[in-house]
Amino acid sequence: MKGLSAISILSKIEPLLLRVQKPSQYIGGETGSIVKDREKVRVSFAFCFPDTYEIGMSHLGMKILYGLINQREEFCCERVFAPDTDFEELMREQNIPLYALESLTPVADFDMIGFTLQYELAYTNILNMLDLAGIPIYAKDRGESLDKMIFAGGPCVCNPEPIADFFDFFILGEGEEVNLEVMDLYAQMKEKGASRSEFLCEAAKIEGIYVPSLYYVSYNENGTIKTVQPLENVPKIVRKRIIKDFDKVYYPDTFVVPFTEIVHDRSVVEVLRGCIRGCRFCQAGFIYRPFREKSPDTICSQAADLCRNTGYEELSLSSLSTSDHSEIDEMLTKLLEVTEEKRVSMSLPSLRVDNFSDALMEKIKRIRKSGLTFAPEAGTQRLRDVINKNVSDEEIMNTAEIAFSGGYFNVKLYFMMGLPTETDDDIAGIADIADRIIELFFKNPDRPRGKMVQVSVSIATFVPKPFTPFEFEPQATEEEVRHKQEHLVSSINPRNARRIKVSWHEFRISQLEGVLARGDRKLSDVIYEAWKNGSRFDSWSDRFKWECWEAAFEKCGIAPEFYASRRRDYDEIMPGDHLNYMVDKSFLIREHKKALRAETTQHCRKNCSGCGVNREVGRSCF
Amino acid sequence: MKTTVRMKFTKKGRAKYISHLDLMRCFQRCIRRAELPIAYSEGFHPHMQIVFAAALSLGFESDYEVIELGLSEALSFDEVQSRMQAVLPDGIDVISCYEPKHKMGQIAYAEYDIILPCQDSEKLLLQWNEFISQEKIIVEKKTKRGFREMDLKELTECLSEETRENALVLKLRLPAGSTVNVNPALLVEEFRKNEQVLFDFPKYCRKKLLCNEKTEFF
Repeated sequence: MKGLSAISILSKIEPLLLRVQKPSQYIGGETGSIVKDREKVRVSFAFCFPDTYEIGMSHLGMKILYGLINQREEFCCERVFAPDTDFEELMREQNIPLYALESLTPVADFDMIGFTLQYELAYTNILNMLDLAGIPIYAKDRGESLDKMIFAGGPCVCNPEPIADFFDFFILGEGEEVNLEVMDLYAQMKEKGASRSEFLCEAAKIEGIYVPSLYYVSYNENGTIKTVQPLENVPKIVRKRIIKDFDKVYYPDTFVVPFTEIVHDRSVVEVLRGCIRGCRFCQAGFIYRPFREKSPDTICSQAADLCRNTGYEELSLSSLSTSDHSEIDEMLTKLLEVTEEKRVSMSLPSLRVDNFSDALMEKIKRIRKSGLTFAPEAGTQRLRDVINKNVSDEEIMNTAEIAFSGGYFNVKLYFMMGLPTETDDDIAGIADIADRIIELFFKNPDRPRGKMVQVSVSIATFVPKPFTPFEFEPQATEEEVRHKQEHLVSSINPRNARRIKVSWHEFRISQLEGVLARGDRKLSDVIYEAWKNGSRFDSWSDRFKWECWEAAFEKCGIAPEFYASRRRDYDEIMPGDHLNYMVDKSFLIREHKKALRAETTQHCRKNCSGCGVNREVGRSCF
Repeated sequence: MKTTVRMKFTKKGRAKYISHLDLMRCFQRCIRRAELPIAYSEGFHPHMQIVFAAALSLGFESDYEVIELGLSEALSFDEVQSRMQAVLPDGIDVISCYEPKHKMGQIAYAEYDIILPCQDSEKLLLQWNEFISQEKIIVEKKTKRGFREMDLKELTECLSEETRENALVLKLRLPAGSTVNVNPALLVEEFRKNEQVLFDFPKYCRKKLLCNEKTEFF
């Protein structure tokens, strides 16, 4: 498969493209894409997103790093996505290797090949992409030459151990600085003719770079981790990278604008990073600390640039919780001036229930009409206190009331099932909230006539994640989840049942996510076997095949329950304990104990909870 | 001052894989990038006043695509052309901008170049001549209301055939109006049904749009 040139890739795929869905996703050439002369660059970088084009192209991190790397004349960054199954079949049949979209060059001809790990269920796609590229799947089989360096970044890298055997190195934390540093190092060492291991030893000295092969993991007889030993002169603990001056950090002034429709097809401005809330189930709320925000002026000028250069008709803001921006009113007012003048519509995801004001609601009402989404996450106040989702019952109802009087009639509610300390009463509380929201709608004299209120209740199975206070907790078992689902259905008031739509995630998918999230290196072989058995696109419920995984676990002699449904002691060594995400383990333990007592923790702006990030960064957060 | 501008453009190379629906969205975004004073429809959901002359099949190239732009203020044809050219994706190039002459509904025919890559183009030409000199070429055409029989013979005008070293190049004129419309791929696939007929992945390029009188559409 190796040695195919771009021209021969083009001639090989042309006859196939009309036989597959959405062919323009496989051919590049979109406006905003950057095609460089590969002969003239020092380091070529294939940025791989381990899912389909329509999902990967919606991902903001890729847009940022793509623009950032291509800004440097001596580097090129090209995009690679997982082909959908119809095209994969044809690629395999015709011996077409995985290629990058800009120059249609085979991925195997790149110096550096980086994956972004956004969710655990994409792991089999990584293996499939490496295989389609003709690259050995296990890092140990890649020899000593420097090319085809396989690495990854993104949130899942906070516990990369289940996929450690497949990668040469990982990048921890935010990528805007460290990606360029590691590419600079690569350029130097490539020109010096260094070997792969020489490069990896040097790279491991850069803060935020974790080379898994330089750490030896030993296990206790019960299967838990005994020690993690650095083999060479590398740091015992690898610390994640953060951008200190977030207002000044690079942000692209244009995006690659796809021809075919993608999931999030619009301009996006990132308004803040980190989160002040500390919801105990939420990994992002801990691993992206500290909280930093951009000024309204920066946000507005970035929005204006993007609108002008992409031609998108819609603008969205990205953050974990946009309404926690300290200058949200000024920001929205200024942004609306920009968007109205340019006939751009604005959408606002991630708005929290509890700080909707009438004034803010007025502004938002000018923007959208169709429906509102809230995430109470748990059905009773007690359980919301356990998970530190500081939203009161009254606030949920207030928000619904404001929404209804604002002309909304569709409400979408997000909950979790299987949370620590959860009882049947908490489950019944979910049905109760949905019911009371419907009653509220009918009490409103100004409700829109002829429109039927609809409450959609979307239930996720709780997955304990590393670097959260719930990393010690067992995940609910299949029997427990089934019981909870039945209890929820039977708790819904029959009078309003037709106005309440309940949906939930497939248990096995959540369980697998739980296994991979807190797994260790023993799982690499399981992932390999599952992929061999045909697993890919595991996050898509219509393509997920539990039997492929079941057979893989069995063959490797590993029980998924060991990882998913086992309670961990506070002193157990977690697979990612040699990685420093700037929040102290002692803080997580403290938060876990408070959770069990149903005690809340105030948000960071009100009161510092002492997570340790300010010490790591060397300054206070606010 | 409201004005209407027609723009003739190509669709070649990678751009041939942009579907008609995607092309409309692509143009809307390009018009925004070009900051043209585009006119919007009245109403609750204003949309850009743009009209495409004739949809092109996915995978076809073209030297003769036409879009009509409604502008809310007058802008020279040169200005429209240069601003759009600067923002359009590779493969889509503006040929010219001009004042509309015909109504969109007057489009009746299109001319195509069809390249059939093959080992023996002389043999393929003989087979083609045999195929096209049949009295009738009946195919089933899928319509909204099921299938309909159609005689391609009476609808096809062969303008020329040319044998190249590794290809046969056909120039055809086919109906492309709102009532009768024949996709050249229909004819080519019918030709290929004969097992003796061997050629590779065919390439299509629309060369012209014509009015009823077979004069060029402007």
